[in-house]
Amino acid sequence: MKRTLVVLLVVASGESAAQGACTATVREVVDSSRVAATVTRYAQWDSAGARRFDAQLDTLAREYDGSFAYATALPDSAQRGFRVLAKHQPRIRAQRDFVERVPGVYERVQDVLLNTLGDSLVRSNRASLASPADCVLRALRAPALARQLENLRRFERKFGPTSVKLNFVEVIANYGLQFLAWPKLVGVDASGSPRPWEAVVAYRTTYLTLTGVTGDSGKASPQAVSTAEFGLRHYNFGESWGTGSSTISRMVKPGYWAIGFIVAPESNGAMRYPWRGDSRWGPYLAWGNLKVGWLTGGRDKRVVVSREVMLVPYVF
Amino acid sequence: MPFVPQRQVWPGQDAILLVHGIGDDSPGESSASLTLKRALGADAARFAIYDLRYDDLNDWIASKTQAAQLVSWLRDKIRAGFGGDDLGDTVANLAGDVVWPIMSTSARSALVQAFTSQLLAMALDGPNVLTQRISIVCHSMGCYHTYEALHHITSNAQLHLRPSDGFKIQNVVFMASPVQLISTVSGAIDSLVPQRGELALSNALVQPVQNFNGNMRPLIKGRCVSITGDLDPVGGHLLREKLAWAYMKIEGQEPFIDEQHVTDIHTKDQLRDLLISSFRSGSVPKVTVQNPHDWSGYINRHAADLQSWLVV
Repeated sequence: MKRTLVVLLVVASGESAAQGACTATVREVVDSSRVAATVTRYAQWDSAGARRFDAQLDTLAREYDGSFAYATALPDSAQRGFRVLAKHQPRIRAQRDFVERVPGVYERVQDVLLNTLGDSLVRSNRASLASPADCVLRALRAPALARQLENLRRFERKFGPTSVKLNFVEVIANYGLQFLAWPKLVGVDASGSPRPWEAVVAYRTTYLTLTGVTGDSGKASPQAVSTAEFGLRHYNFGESWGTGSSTISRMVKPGYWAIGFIVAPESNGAMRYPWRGDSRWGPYLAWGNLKVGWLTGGRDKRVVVSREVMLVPYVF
Repeated sequence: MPFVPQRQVWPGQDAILLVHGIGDDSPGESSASLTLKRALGADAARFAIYDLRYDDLNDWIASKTQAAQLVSWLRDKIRAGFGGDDLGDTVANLAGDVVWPIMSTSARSALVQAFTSQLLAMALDGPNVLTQRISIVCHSMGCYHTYEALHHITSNAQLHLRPSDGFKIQNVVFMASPVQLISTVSGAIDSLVPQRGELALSNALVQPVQNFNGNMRPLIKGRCVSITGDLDPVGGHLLREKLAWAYMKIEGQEPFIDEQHVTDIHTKDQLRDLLISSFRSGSVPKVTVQNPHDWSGYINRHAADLQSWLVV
């Protein structure tokens, strides 16, 4: 059964306002390409190339003989072009060679139209014959731009003014992690997005705990606890995370969280060496700026809390 | 502030992307843009001129790593070594800002993506793919980013900016390019540079080309020009001597090496005139020290060339 495939390309994201909705069918690309080959007399100066081009256009026209709306696979489809069309459309997926052949054929047709015939079309004032192909390109480039800007937004989340500043040891640790083949915690992934993790290696003297007051069993007073902190911080790249206007909303959906373990000396107090005496240790969890640790190892088990704060630049 | 590419309506079929060096982030239209418009004369109205600045991205990383002070210290040392003038500033800034794209893969990727975002925006702003002409004029560290980004787009199908996608750069004009200098230095500390192999400049310097089914498709359609000055160390010269390890030599480039002068007095006649006018007026002779790395200086010296290269 012969069906007509309408490939509708809609310029995604904010491009519609600037460019107007851009629609084109592959049939239009095929038809305009045939005209382009004719007006540039392609067969006369490269008969073999023209024959191949014709065959590729036939393939495209044949393969797109369906009724799948390309727009239904958007916005994701435009990111990866025609391969995604096949992924999202069961009937196309059923055509085994569609995925392998058609994107390659389309790219070849586009290359001949825009490169081999391009200059001749411009010289003969027939550049408009490339308009359907231009429309396809705009529909693919607009989401590519949106994707890049999203990656840059994520970079800002991880490295920008609201991110956590690193101390000297953390700078070295995160620099070193870039060299690891596995696990890949830092750097960027294949799509260009920054990876959300970073190493935490810090000395903290800002943890607090409550201890009993000597001579009054009913009272408790806060005491500082010095710790060494080892963990991983994860940045939340979601748009609604870390952007709240109020303290409460930023606490509920912070820009980052962290997990790891802390080591504390046997006695409480600020500016203590963490491994002094019979050290205590245990896990900690940070949710935004708020940190809670649980010193389970050692004799004096207790809960400690802190805020993410750097008292001395470069150090802790 | 997140990075936002510049958008504008093209007055015709031509656009120029000015890729700035470091520390050139003053708001509004750049002095380079104004100078270029003067160089193009009446034809300037035919061009959409875009400015690409990326200092914010460098500043993020500097602030996060708290290395700003360390870099400032390094800059001060270099600046003092060069005598504390404009040129010292230039070299010092270059040394400070080259650290991030070399040592941090994240900064490297962010800078390339800022560049390619601007190119995508320009391609979307422009007319029909067959008729739009985009040229790039870059300066200093901007040349490094241009070199890396143009190589990146030829191999990245996701951007749809490859020559097989009909995307071409009409001309690229490198001014005072440190590409070879950075290539040499990063090669010397090879083991300290993460994923150095992913840097385009880790290989021999060539023009960006796409391998499309075995056929090589050059990205640059017209000229690839390299201009530097014989007193500009960033461009690979020291006291008029060309330094092979620092001077950029891309295969197929059109090289121009400007004869530069430390002051605005170039000839004996000029000196005589200056002294005579000074005696007559009774004032101190006015001699202006020139910065050999100044972008506007490069544009002014090649105003006629730029006119002939960029105006079709």
